[in-house]
Amino acid sequence: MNINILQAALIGMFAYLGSLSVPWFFGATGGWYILSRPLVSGFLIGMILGDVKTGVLVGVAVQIVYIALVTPGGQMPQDLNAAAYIGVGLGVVAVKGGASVEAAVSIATAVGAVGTIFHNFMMLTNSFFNHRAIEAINEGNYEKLRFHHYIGPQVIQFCYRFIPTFLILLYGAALANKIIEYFPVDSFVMRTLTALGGMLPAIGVAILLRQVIKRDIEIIYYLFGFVLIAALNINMISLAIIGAFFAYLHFLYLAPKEGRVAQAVTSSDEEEEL
Amino acid sequence: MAAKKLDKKTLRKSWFSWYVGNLSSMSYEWLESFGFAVSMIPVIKKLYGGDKEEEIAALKRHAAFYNTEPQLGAVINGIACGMEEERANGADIDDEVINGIKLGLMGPLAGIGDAMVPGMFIPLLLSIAIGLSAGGSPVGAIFYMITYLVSITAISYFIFMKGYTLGTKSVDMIVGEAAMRVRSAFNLLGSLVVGGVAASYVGVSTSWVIKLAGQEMVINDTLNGVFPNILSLLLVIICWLFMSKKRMSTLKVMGILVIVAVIGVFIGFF
Repeated sequence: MNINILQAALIGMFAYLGSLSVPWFFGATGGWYILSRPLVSGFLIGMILGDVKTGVLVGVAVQIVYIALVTPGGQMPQDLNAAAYIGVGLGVVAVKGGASVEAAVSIATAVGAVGTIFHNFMMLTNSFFNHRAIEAINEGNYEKLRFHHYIGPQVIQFCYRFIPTFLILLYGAALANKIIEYFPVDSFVMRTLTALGGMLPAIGVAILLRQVIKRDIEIIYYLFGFVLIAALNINMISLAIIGAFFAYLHFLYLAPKEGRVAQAVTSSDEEEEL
Repeated sequence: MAAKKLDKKTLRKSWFSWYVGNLSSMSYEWLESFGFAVSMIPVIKKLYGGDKEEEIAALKRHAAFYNTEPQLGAVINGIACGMEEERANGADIDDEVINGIKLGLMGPLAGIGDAMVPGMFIPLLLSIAIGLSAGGSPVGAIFYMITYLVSITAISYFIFMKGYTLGTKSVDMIVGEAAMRVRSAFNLLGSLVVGGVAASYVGVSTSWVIKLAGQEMVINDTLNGVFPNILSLLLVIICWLFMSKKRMSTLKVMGILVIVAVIGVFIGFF
C-alpha cells in the first residue's frame, strides 16, 4: 500500500492539530487528549487511507500500550503524538503489506520512544517566544502578547509535527513495504516483533494499575475483571456495568458515618499526595 | 463609585481563552504562565480598562510561573477572577495573596487532576471504547471523541464558574471528602475494566511442544486449561510489580520485554 501526497498531508495536519500545546481544536482537550489517542488516530488514518477497519484494529492495539499515559509538568516519557500518527500510519501500511497487528504495535511503540525529541525541542524553542511575551507584558501590549503566545510558538510547532509526519509517511511507506518483503512473517525479525507487540499492551495495563492501586490487595479488582472476560467471556459493556455496580457500592460504603471511616479517608488521602 | 462586576460574557471569554490556550506557548521555563496571563486579558480590560499602569501590574501578576492540570485546573482561573474583582473594588488583596493562592492550589490540583483525568477517567472511557471497537468497528473511536469532549468541556466550564462564585471553597469539589470517595470508586472501576482489556488484548502464548512417550503435549493448551490466558495475566502482574515495587521506569520495562522477545523467539518459546 502506498500513501499519496494528499493523504500524507492530511495525516500530517491531524498530527499537528493533535499535538500537545495546539489550541485550534478545542485546546488540549480536543487535541492532545482526543486526536492524539491512537484509537482516534487509527480511525482517522483508516478513513484517510480508505481502510477504516485496519486503521481501528491497529489503533486499538497501540492504544492499550498508552492507555494510562500521564504527562506531568510537560514531561513526556513517550511521545504519544508520534506513536499515534507516524507509528500508527506506518503500522497500517505494514499490516496491509502482510505484517501482524502485533508487529505494528512494536513499530509504533519504537516511534513513540524516539519521538520525544520533537517534544523536547518544542519545550526549548518556546522559551524564545516566552521572552518576547514578557516584553509585551512590560509594555502592556495585548496584541504582541497574544502573538507570542498563540501564533509564534504554533508556527514552529507546525514544523515539528507536520513536516516529519508528512515526509515519513510519504517516503517511509514504500520503505516499509520493502522491509516487509525482505522479512517474511515467519522470519526471526517479524516473529520477534509479533511476540513483543503481544506483550507491550501489558505495560499499558501495568501503568494504570500502578496509578490506581493504593494497597497491594486491590490487585484483586484487576483479577476479577480479567476472570470475567477470560473465563466467563462476557463483553466489555457488561463488564463496565458490573464494575459500575461494585464501584457504587464502594462509594456508599465509604460514606463517613463514624469517626473510624473519616480516619481511613484522611490516611488514604495522604498516601495519594506521595 | 459603583462596584465593578465581571459579567458572564467576560468570564466566558476568560474561560474559553484558558480552555484552548493553556499550553500554547509551553516551555520548560514557563509552562502555563502565559496561558494564564492571556486568559486574564478580558478580565483585566473589564476591571482596570483605561488605567494602563494597573493593567500592566495585573498582567505581570498573572504571568508568574504557573503549571497545573489544565482541565480541572480551570477552577483556579475562576478563583483568580473572583479575587481580581474583589481587588478592583478596593479589597486589601496584594500580589502576594493572589500568587500565594495560585501557587498553593496548582500543586494539589496538578497531582489530583493528573490522577483523575489522564490517570483514571481517560483509561476508563478508552477501555469501554476499545470494547466497542472490537473487530475494527469505528463506533468506539467516535464514542470516545464525543463523550470525552462533551464531559470535560462541561466540567471545565462548570468548575471555572464555581471557582468564581465560591472562591477557594470550590476546590473542595475536587480535593474534598466526597471527591475522594468518587475517586476511590472510580479506581475500583478502572482496575476492573482494565483487567478485561488485558484479558482481551494482551497476547502472550507459547509455541512450545513437549514430546512425552510418543504423545505431543502443547504447553499453551495445557496452561490455558489451568486458567485461560494465564501467561498474559501473569505478564501484567510482573510488569506491575517491576514498576510499583522495583520503581522501574516504563522505558526500562519495555527494554526488558524486548530482550524477553528476542530470547524467547531464539529458543523457540514464542
